[in-house]
Amino acid sequence: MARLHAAAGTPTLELEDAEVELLRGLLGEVADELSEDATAGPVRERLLPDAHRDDPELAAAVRDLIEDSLREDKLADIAAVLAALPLGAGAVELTEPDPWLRALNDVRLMLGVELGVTEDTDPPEGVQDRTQLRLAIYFWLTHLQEGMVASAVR
Amino acid sequence: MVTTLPDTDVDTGESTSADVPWITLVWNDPVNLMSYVTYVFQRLFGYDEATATKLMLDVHHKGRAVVSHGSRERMEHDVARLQAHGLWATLQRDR
Repeated sequence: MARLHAAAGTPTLELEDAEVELLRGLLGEVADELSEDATAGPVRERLLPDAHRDDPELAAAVRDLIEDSLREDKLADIAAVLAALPLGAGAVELTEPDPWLRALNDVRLMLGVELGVTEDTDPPEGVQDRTQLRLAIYFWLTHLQEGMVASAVR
Repeated sequence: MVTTLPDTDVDTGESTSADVPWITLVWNDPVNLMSYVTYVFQRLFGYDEATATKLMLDVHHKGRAVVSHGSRERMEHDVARLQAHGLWATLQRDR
């Protein structure tokens, strides 16, 4: 399992081979959702939400202003994490935790929408199918992000 | 000592619709971690931990909280920064 060493100095994330591959795949999925060619869907709507709840005209005007740079920022976070990930098992120093926090959060948002996560959703009892696997991954990332936030505020 | 001007609009006495300040709202969602939301409020707005925590709890318990107010342009900027962090942020006129 991934281990976050944060007792002293720069937090360090130790990842297994399979975890690195998993993160690469998930970050790629988010990047695909953000690509301009992708068809709009609920995941993309959550990653790039309307800036107004019930005024579509205003929401569209704000979207025109902010969406391109928002998408670029999110893709830059993903690129930064992908570049920092080790090739295979290894450790990575989280000298700049914010791109990690944002990129992992976007992965969790994607999985949360896909799986219909609510505040009452529990981790799966076992991993028998793809949904349970994705849910287990969601909770793994939740744990990881929680640790990263704790080490970032320290 | 360095001082900064407050974000709020100056009351000119005659209120037109252009004078109505805008607000940025953050809405509750089931994915964002309470600790992360508090962290983002501190990072983006410079709130101390107590203020950021109170806002986060407002989002969590009341479903939403006003996290900043000012001109429409500033609120567009704040919405963009919050959405970049994955928070569900919107703007609207304050009325």
